[in-house]
Amino acid sequence: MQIKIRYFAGLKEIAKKGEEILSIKDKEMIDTEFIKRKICNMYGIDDKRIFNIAINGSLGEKEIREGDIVSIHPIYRGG
Amino acid sequence: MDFKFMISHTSPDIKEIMDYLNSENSGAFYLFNGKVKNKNNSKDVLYLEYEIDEDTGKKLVEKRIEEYENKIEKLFIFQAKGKLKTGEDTIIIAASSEGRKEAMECVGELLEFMKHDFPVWKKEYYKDSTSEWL
Repeated sequence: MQIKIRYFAGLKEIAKKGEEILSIKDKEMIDTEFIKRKICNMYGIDDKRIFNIAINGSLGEKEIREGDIVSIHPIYRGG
Repeated sequence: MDFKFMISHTSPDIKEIMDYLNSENSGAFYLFNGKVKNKNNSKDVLYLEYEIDEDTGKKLVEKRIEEYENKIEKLFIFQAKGKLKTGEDTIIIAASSEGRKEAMECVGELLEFMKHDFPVWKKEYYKDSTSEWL
């Protein structure tokens, strides 16, 4: 399956890109923990770092499927 | 409740927001206006850069404001994006209601929401040529 990953803020600088397509072999569905581990591994990020993960613009979803857009959010810093 | 939500590089006119908030049912309005300050963590700030996940942010705001449907007459939220110099507007939250309490509470609660639960990030650029995501 293929999914689009979107990076923001400091994560975008670490990945050196705002988005990319990831291909996951032999799976029809993964969860947010799987994708977090994969990205931390790909970019050498401490996997204890806290991220929010939005799927197609919604937080709190866990299941990721073919064609989903997955946004990886560092801790929010508004104001 | 009427609601306007604006994410933009350009700040809205405060007078236009006040005109929008006016309604026959409103006895008060309350407005918070955040600005870029020139110092943070003992460093001189040149400008800020805001980045936002707008798709996710809009959905979150729409859900978050549901609780004000019967308490607030009109609600306005502005969130800046892109590069901002010191003194420019970062966020504006304004609400009008029948009594003052509802508008004040609404603005205070939404300010906390926008600071901690809205997908926005800011990078500060300093006069000493360093920068950091906060």
